[in-house]
Amino acid sequence: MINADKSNLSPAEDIREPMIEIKNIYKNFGSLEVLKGLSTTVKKGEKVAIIGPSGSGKSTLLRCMNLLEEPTYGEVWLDGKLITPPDPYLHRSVIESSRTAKKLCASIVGKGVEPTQQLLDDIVAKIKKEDLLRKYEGRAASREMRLIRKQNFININVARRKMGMVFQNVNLFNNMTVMQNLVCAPVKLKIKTPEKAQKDALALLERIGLSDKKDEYPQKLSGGQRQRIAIVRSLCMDPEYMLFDEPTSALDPEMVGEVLSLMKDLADDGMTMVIVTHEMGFAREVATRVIFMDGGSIVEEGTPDKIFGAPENERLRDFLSKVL
Amino acid sequence: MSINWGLFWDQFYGAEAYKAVLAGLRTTLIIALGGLLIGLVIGSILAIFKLVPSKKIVFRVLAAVSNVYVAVFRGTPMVVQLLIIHYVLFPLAGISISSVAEATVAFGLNSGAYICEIMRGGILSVDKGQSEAGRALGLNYSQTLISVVLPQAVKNVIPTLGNEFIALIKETSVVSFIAVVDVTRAFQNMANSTFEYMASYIMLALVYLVLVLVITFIIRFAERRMRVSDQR
Ligand SMILES: Nc1ncnc2c1ncn2[C@@H]1O[C@H](COP(=O)(O)OP(=O)(O)O)[C@@H](O)[C@H]1O
Ligand SMILES: [Mg+2]
Repeated sequence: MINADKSNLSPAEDIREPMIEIKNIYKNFGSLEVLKGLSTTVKKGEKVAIIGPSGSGKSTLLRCMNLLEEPTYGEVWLDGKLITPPDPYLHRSVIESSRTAKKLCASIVGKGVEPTQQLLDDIVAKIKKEDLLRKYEGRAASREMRLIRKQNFININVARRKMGMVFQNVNLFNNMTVMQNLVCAPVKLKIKTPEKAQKDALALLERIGLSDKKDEYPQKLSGGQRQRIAIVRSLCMDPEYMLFDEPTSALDPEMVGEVLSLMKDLADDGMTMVIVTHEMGFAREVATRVIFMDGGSIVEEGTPDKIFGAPENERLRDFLSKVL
Repeated sequence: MSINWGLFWDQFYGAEAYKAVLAGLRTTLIIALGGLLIGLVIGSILAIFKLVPSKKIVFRVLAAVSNVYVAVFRGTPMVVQLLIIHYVLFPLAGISISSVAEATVAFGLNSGAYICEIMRGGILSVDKGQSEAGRALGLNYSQTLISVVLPQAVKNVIPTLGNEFIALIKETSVVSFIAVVDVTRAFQNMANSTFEYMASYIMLALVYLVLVLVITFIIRFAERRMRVSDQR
């Protein structure tokens, strides 16, 4: 997980580096396990493509990144800030101060005896491995959890302002014109004045050649126009990250190109992007890293050249032979 | 027995009872329309209480309150509610407003229970993607609800709200129980002073029928206009 180019940074610098960090997340829908312990980090400027068979949990992973889905276990960090509740298993201080740890300790060395570092390590490992923590682990553990929360937690509504999301089925607001769609969030959230929001929105519309549509309702536009406007709606918030969930899958084939080319422009501008896609050609051209998911896990990840040129995993090879 | 239309006409036109009828008609419409608006506000709030996904105890209590409210107002006759509001609630609360205002409040409270269910369906009928898009932009739950979901929900339920309005108009005929002179009471007064019950009540039925037909027409028209603007 630790990347070579990060190892020469001090921990403090490390945490300030803007990025999305997924730490060991699990997601269950009822008894269905959709994500099974995933970890990955998206750094500033990266363009990460997520590929994999349908039902493998790609959308769920993406939606966990901005908390449209809440992970059942694990944590999501954005720019060094925690957006999920803290997961006790990811914090040694919590595990060490838990009742379970104290009981285990007492049963081995006796009450009141200070355990050795080695013993503590073993106990922490055992608790993690065997999933021994309970809902309530005593005041000391609760205090640790509160402390972690207090130091790191950021309100999700604030965090989401940095992170645009583009959906497969577009989801432009049906009750608003194009212009109203674009200025709604920046103005409501008081990020821009109405005048500035309008000006920015118009500039972006001009850039995609749709400024003449500003007073239309979304229903009057073609699928490709709608999706490009949905991308622009996110851009109006001046985001640092963009999440795309199969943005072209619901479009007629002749409209796919215009959407992909706008996304390519964004990538060239240096936007940090996470893209769930079935467009392998696009992934290969634009992505700096490709993640292959299957059955709720990351099975293989690497550069596009490696994933498409020299896939190692059997399931990935099988998948590629079907889609390429 | 036969219907003496002449007698009825003399009273209606000659003795200017039509003025009382028009005033009564106005009262009927005020109570029904005011009730609908109050009901829309109460119903929307109750529906939201039921739908807030938060598991916080406050919201669970509010959802329970909403359920009890709907059960009570749907489970008792309108007339009884009207009487209780007029003779019990307002006197106990020490509020004294006109009987028309009381009736409007009573019908508002009552239709709130029905509109709650209507709005709940309307909110649920708005595609989940719409609110997800709002939340993903950083709008919070209530901002998304107010600017994105509710406008679409109301639009979806306008035909049903129209039916609720029609039901309200007909139901308001019980307001004479608390001495409000609505259109029913105006015709009753005519019947009592001329003893020409048949003509009075046939005319009363016709007035309601025409009113309902006109409103139905307006709703249909509005619906059709909306559908045209929706066409892709
Ligand atoms: N809200 C939900 N409730 C229940 N099951 C869900 C929900 N969302 C997704 N799933 C299930 O989770 C699995 C993974 O879904 P998803 O993340 O959409 O996969 P992908 O995007 O890779 O096709 C699927 O089996 C899907 O049916
Ligand atoms: Mg998907």
